[in-house]
Amino acid sequence: MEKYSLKTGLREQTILKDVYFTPPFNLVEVRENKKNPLLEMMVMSSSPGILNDDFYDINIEVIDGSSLNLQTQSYQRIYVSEKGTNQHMNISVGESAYFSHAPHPVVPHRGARYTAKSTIHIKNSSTLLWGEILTCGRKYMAEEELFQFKKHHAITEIYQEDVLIFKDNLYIVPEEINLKEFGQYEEYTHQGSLFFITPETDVIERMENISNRLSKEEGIIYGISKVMDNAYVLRILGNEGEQLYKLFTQIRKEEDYLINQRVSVN
Amino acid sequence: MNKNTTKPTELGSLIEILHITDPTLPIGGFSHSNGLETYVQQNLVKNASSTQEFVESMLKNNYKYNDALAVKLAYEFTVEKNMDEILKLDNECQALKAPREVREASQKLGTRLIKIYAALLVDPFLNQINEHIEQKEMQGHYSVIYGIITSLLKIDKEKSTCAFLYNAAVAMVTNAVKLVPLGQTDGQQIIYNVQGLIEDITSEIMELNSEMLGVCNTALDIKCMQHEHLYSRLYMS
Repeated sequence: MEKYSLKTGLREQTILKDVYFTPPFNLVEVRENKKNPLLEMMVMSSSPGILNDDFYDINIEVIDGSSLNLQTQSYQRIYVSEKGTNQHMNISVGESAYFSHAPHPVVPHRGARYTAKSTIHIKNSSTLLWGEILTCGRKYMAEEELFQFKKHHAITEIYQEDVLIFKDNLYIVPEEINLKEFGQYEEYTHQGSLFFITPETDVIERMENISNRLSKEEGIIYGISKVMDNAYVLRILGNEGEQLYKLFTQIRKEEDYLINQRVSVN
Repeated sequence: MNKNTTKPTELGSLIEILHITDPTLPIGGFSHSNGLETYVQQNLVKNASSTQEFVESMLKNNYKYNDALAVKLAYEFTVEKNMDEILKLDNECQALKAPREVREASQKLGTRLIKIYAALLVDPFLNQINEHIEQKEMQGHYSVIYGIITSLLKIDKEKSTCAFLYNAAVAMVTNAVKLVPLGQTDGQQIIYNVQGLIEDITSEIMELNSEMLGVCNTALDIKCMQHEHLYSRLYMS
């Protein structure tokens, strides 16, 4: 089992309290402005991707009052392996704490079988931004690798004060499901979902800003809807991993920025 | 006069199914298109053949893993009188429905359905469900309430699920006939054409476990979300 875990600490700014990782992982701090309250960490990996029946076990604890952004270094490639590969991610976000994670797209290679379970526990006063992007595979290879993977099953559950408030069940088995059918991927090859919640704030303004920006993008369709007064879900279909990643990164950076502002004012 | 649910007969049971899936049951089903209106306005569903493709895909990819599977699970939990699991399932339906209008539609239909049956049936379990909804401890999603009631009525589980799918297909076709628009004969042809599919999906649902509940239909979710901003709308979802 391949693992990493980290726990934040709090002084004038958020610090890295505990960190633990096994190969192929390495966790490094990438906070550019050392005065910023938001701790920015990057997960690095010496492996080209998730392979050899890997089982990634990830645990993150963002303690009360602290703020963390977790970044990835590159696209997560999923290789073919006999039993398939797995990832379990457990995250807890404390009172008035912040966590943002909108990683690079996942690229399942020909024959890949992958299951992932992400469980996130937050408090009423927590802020969370969570994004995920899945590509169809290595579309631009000489031998086009479009939806050649076997199975991709990713379940995300977000609990607020132990009540399930959002669940995503992404189950894609290209041999079973014709993704071109109505309601699936239709004419697109990439999909992204982003969940955001913040305490005691109507998210309508954020939704309008995102909508205005996305309506000018070409080659995508998107929808954004309130799941609670203070939470929205954004879904996008497109044809380019980089485009979706940039859009999610921009939204993530705006929230990260607000956190840096908010915490420094306090 | 209230009816006692403990002594079902085969014919009685057939009448119960016909009643609960009757499109004229006043729960407001006619005012929801669940994304179809967006598809029609964007000219993606535009004639009889694209309507049939839409209905087929919804049955295969959406209803199978979402509402119809929730019906089966709610039915089974009701047989076990397992209130905790029912509450969990209802909450899961809430968490899985990301588009606001679809989530609200499901709640509205469910709460109206239970109002009707709470008045018709004498059943302590149904009363408890009703209380949970009144106390806001439960949303009362349509699929969950339908599963509970058909279980209490002792309608066969497979038939209950099958009738739910048939009702969904009829609702989609009725909406398409108005929206696209299609001729009445075209609409009936589609309902006839998908009957085999409904049968197959019903059997498949009987084999599905709760892990498969809520498989995401990304493009459908997007169209349902876009419906909130359509310029002119005939439907609430």
